[in-house]
Amino acid sequence: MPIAPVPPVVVPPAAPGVFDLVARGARVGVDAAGLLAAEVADATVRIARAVLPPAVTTGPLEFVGDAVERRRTEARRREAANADATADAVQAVVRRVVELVIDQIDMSALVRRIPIDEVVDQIDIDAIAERIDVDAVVARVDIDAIVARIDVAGIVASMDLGAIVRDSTTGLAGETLDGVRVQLMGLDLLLARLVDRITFRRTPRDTAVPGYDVAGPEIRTPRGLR
Amino acid sequence: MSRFIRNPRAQALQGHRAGIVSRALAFAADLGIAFVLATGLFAGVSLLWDLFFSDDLGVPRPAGGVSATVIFVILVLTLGLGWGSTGRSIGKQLVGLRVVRADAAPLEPGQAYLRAILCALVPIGLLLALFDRRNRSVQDVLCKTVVVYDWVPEVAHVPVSRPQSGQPGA
Repeated sequence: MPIAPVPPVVVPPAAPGVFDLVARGARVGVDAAGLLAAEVADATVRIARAVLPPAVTTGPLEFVGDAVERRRTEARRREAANADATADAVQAVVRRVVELVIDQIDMSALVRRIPIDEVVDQIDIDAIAERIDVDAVVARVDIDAIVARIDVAGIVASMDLGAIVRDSTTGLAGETLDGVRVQLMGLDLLLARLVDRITFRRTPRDTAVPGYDVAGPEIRTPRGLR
Repeated sequence: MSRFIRNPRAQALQGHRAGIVSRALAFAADLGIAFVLATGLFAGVSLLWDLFFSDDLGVPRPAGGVSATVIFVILVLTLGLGWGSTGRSIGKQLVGLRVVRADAAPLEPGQAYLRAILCALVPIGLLLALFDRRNRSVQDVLCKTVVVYDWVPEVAHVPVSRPQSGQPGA
């Protein structure tokens, strides 16, 4: 059975946590103490130099001064490094804390507590509008470019102009005509009913025309064009 | 989009055999149009005649027989033309009627002109429509034709077709 190659596991460097913060803070404190001790030693050496006769002091004091100087340089270097690391830790911890706090906050409840109406009342829209220079805004709009982007031909092509013209021209005439036609149709039916009554006809008239399509083609095609 | 008929009863009766009042009025309108056309024809011919061959312009008074014959011929021509093409003469178009064969097919020209001659000769034959069970006039019985209500002509049903051009700017 083939064994699938296992992808190498990459462990991301963990962000500095609270423990790092404490440890680094302590280190900064130790370094500060070391620096202080070095300063004290340095001051002591200088006082000794001034007070004691040079013949006695030169050799041992220079040895001590060199040692103190070395110690101080080392402490300064470590202090800088530790301060940077501590700053990183502080940042990370603060970020974590802020995230936690934000997670805990019920935003909608918070928003609900904001008196929107009062806030809106305080805003003077008119004053804001007065400060807007409409002419300048309009002047910056390139109307020609906008018009150039409108596809007038496409709009016209998408409209059924023929139908619009036809509807608007036949509409009124058609309505009037239909009014007269309805009256005539009513008279047709009335007269037919009257005659049927007089002639004692029992069955109603058969006015249906089987196969007639009202919407069908009307124009007879001459034989030569068929 | 076709024209809309408001009255539902009238809408339902579209394509049904028409009654006598509508048909009589349609014929009257056709007759009136033939009369106007005949008068115009007389006036025009007379005017031209007077312009070239006479000293004074006058309104002609043709003999009754001549006048009736001209009106008859014009009536037959206009009715036959209308019925033989779309089934609608001008008067029928006005009232919203259409003449078709009994099998709902358009009239043949011969059938249309025969019906036109019969109608122009014996308009009183329409009276049969008042009593016939199927609203047929004498002409309808003889020519095997039917007159139906059809208010909306075909052109109002068919949308205007435009050549489909390509998308502009594409």
